[in-house]
Amino acid sequence: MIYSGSVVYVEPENCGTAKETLKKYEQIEVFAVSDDRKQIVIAIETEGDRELEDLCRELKEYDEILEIAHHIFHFEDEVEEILQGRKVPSLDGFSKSSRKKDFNG
Amino acid sequence: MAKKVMVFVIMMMLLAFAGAYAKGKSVHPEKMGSQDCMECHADVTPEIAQQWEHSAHGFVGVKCQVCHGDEKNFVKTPTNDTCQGCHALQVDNNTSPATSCATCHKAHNFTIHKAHDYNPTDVK
Amino acid sequence: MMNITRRNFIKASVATAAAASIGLSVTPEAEAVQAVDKWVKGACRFCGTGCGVYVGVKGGKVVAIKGNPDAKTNFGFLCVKGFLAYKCMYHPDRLKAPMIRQKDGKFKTVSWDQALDYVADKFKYFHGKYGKDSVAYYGSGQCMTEESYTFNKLFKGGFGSNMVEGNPRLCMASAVGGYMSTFGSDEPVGSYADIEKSKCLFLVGSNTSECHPIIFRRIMRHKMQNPDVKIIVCEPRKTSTTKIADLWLPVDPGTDLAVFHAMAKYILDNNLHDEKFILENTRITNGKDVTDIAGYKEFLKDFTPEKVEKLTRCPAENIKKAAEWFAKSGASMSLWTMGLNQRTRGVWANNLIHNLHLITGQLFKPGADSFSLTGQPNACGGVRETGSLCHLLPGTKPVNNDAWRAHIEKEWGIPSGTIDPKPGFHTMLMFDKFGAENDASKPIKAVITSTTNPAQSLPNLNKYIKGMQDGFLVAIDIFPTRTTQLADVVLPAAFIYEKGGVYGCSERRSQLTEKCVEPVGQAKADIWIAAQIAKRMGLEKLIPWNTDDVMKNNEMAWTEYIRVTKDTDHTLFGAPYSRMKKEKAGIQWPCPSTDHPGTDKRYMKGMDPMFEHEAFKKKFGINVPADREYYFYMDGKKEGKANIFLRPYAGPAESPDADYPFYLTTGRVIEQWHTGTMTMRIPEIARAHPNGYLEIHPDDAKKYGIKAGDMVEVASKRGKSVLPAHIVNGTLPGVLFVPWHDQAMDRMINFVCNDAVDEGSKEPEFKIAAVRIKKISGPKNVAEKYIISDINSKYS
Repeated sequence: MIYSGSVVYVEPENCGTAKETLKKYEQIEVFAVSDDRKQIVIAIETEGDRELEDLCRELKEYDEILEIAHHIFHFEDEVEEILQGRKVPSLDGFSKSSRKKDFNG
Repeated sequence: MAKKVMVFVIMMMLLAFAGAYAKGKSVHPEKMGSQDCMECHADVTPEIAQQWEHSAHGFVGVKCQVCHGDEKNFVKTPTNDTCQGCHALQVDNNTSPATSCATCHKAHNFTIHKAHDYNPTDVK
Repeated sequence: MMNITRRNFIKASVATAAAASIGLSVTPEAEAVQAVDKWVKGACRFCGTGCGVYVGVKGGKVVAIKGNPDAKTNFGFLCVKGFLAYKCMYHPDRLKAPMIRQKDGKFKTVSWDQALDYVADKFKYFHGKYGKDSVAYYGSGQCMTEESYTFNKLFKGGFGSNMVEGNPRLCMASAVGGYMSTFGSDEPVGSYADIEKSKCLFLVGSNTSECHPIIFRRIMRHKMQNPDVKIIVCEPRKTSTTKIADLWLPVDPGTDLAVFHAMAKYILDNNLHDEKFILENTRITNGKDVTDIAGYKEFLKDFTPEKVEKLTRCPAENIKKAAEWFAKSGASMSLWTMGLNQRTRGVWANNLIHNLHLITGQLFKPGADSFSLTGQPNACGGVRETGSLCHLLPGTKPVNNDAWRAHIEKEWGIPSGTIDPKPGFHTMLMFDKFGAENDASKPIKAVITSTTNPAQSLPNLNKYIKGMQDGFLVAIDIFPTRTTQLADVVLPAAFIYEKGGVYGCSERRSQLTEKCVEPVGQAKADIWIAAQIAKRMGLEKLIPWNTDDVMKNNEMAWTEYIRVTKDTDHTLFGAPYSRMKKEKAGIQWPCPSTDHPGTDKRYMKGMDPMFEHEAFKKKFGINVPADREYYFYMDGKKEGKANIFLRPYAGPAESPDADYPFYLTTGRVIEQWHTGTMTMRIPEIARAHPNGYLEIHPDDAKKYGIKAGDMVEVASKRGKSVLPAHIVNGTLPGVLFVPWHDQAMDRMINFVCNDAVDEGSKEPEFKIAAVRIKKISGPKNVAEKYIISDINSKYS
C-alpha cells in the first residue's frame, strides 16, 4: 500500500466538478478545499506505485483537473514487503524502449 | 541502509514510469463457467483461500460470492454497501465513510480471535 | 477520535501534511450517501434463527437489505441467504396472476374472482358430497402467524374440520413432542442469550454452521473469545461445524439414543448428577410408573460406553469425555435440529437430551439450556403457537382437550361443538389419503397448500405424487414448483416484504415485519386469499379481515390471536401491533402485559410472569407452591415437575443390510434453502451448489470403483436418484449424504427417503434410509442450476 497526500490544482469554477470526479475513485479521499477553491487536498491510497502513477495519469486527462502534486508519500507497507522478500520491485519502465514509448505517448 | 535503497527504488519508479490502464468497472478476469469460485481459487490464490478458511468469514460460511458477486456482478473491492449488510452499525459509525471498509479490514484474514492464535480443529 | 484505524490514520496524516504544506487546515468532509428512500424493519425470510433486518426500499422496490444491529438474535449479521436471497422476489419467474388448469393440461390465466369462485365452489361441492373432512389445508412454517392462524380458524372453526397440517410436521413435530412430554409445554426454557454464557455446547443432530449460520457465528465467537468453552459435536458427518469443536462423537445414523443413555449412565455412575435438582424438580418415569435414581441406574445398566461403542461406532472414550464435560462445565447448553427430530424415535431422542439437562441440573442457570433450533422462520410462532396442526388449537393445546376447545369456540363466537374433538390426519396420512374423487380409498378430495412444496419435500415421493396429481390441488406460492406442476389451481402469493406480518423464531421471540412494497403483478397476501375463500363460503363473520389493506388484515388477525391465547403460557397479550411496531428486537413470550419486557427464562420464579398470572393459573388449575424456585406449571400431574424418561433403546426404522448396505442421510447446504425455489434463482448462490451430489467416504468409493464426479445411483426400497460423487473424509464410512435442494427429477433425493413416522410426533424419518449404490457412468456435467420456470411443464 502506498499512501499519498496530494494537492490537486483546479480552476475555481471547476472546483465542484473536480471534487465530484475525485470522489468517484475509491482510492481517493477528499479532505479539504482551499478558500480560493484552487486547491483540493486529497489522500490517495493504491496497491502500489504503478497503480498510483496510472491513476494520476488518468486524473490529468480530466479537463477540470489541471495538475496533481504529491506532497508526501507513506509506503512503509511496501518497504516491508520488499524487505521480507514477498515482493520484488518491478523494473519495467526503466528500459530504453519503454521510456521511449512513454514519452512518445 | 537497505531500507533507504528500497525507498529510493520506489521513488525512482514513481517518477520514472507509467502504464496505460484505464480505470473502469471491475471485471472478473476469467470466464467462470458453472464453477464455484473456490474450485479455482483454492489453486490460483491458495494464500487467500487459506486465509479465508481460517477467518471469521470462513468459519461462518461467508463465501467469495457473498462479497465479490460472480462474473456478472463482480466487484474486486467490495463497497461499504456490501459490508453494511451485516456490519450496519460499523458502517454507520465509520469515521471516514468515503473509505472502503476493506481498506483496513482485510476480510480474508480478519478474525476476531487473533489474540488466542486459534486454528481450526481437526477433531478426532 | 475513537475508532480510527491505522489506515485512516495514515490517510488523515498524509492529507494533513499535504494541506499544511499549502497552508490549509483539514476537516474531513463526510457526506453520507443515502442509497435508499427508507429502511423498513422486518425479519429474515429464511431459517428459524429469526434475524432482524432492515429492508431498503427505493422507488417502491426493495433494493437492499441489512442486518438490524439492535436485534437480539443476529446483532446485525446476516448469512449468505439472508443477504442475497431476498432478491428472488424480483425474479422474472414470479407468479403474477391466478391460473386454472384446463382440460388440455395447460394453465389459463384468470381473474382473482374467477379463481376464488372456482376454488370455493369446488370446496363447497366436496364438503356437500364427501363431508367436512374431505378438504384439507397444508401450510408452512414460512407463512406469517396471521396467515396460519386464519387458515386454522377457517378450517377448524369454519368447516369444523381438523384436516389442517403444515410442513413443521416434517421438521419440528418431534421437538414439540419432546418439550410437551418432558416439560409439559412446547418450546425452550431459555434463549439464544444462553449461548454466550455457556461453558459447554453440545451440538447434536445439527450442522449449525451451514443450517443456522448466524447462531453458529455466535457460538464461534463465544468459543474464540473463550477457548476454554468446550464444543462437542455429535453427528455421523464431520461437518464444517466441527471446525471449532473440541470433540466429535461420530455415530451411525439413528443409534445416538444409546450414546445419550451412555452419557447419562456415566454421569450417574460417577456421581456427577445433581441429586437435589432431580429430587425437587423431576419425576423419573417410563411413562407409566415412577421410579427413583436407583431405578434409573438399573435401567441404564447395559449402556456402558464400551457396549455402546460397538452399537454406534462412537468411541467409548469420547462418550465419557463428553459426559464429563457436559456434567462438570457449570453451564451446558444443547442445540439440535433435524438430526434428532426427523426420526422414528424423534420424540425419544429429544427426551433423552432433556434428561441429560435434568439429571445434571443444567437448566435455568445462565448458559444452561436444552434448546431446539427450528428450521423455518415461523414454525414456532406461526404453526406451533397458533396450533395449526391437525391435533392442536391456538396456544399449542390439544384439540381433544374439552375445556380448551370450549374456550376457543367461545372466543371465536361459534356454536359449542363446532370444533371436532378428533385430531385430523397428520401430514403423511393426509397425503396418503389424498386422491381422485372417484377413488373411495382416498377420503381427502382437495388440498390447499400455502408456501410449501410437498411434491418435492415429502419423503418417499413415489407414494404420494399420484394422489396430488389426481386430487384437487390448490397451490399458493411465488414461483412455479414441483407442486404447481401437479396443481389444478395456482394462486400467486405476495412475498413477505410485500405483505408484512409476524414471525416467531426458535427462542419464543415474535418480530413484526412491516409491509415494504406492493406485490408484483396481481400477487396477493395469503391472508387475503384465505379471507376471500371464507367470504365465498359464507364465513365472512368468522374471518372478517378481508379488506384490501393487508397490514390492517394482519393486525386484526393478530389482535384476535393474542386475545384468544391471552391466558396461556404462550401469551403475547402484551405485544399488540402498536408495540410490535416499536420494538426493535421483537418480544419473547410469555408477555402478559404491554409493560412486560418479555421472558428470557421460563419456569423460574422472578423470571417467568406466569408464576403470578392469576387468570392463567385459574384457567389451568395451577397452584404454584411458594417454596418452589422452579416450577413446570404445565406438568400434567400438577406437581410442577419435568419428566426424566426411561426410553428404551430403538434404532432407526431401516438399518443397512446385505442388499442395502449404506446409511443415507440428507440435509442442507449453507447457500440453498429447502427445495431451492428461492435460493436457486440467485446466481451467486446457485453457483455454489448448482446441483445435488452424493458425499461418500474414500474407502467406500474405492470399494465401488467410484472416482470424484462419477455418476452414482443411490437406491432404497422406495426410489432412486443419480448424483455425482463427492469423495469426502468427513463422513463415516458406510454413511452417505445428499443435500435435498435440487429440483431436477433425477436428483430429488426425497424419492429415496423413508416416510416411516415417529409414533408420537408423526414426523417422518427423513434422516435415515438404507440404500445401495452403483456407479452409472463417469463424470457428467450436471451443474445446471435446474429450476422449474415454465408453469406448464410436466412433473418429470
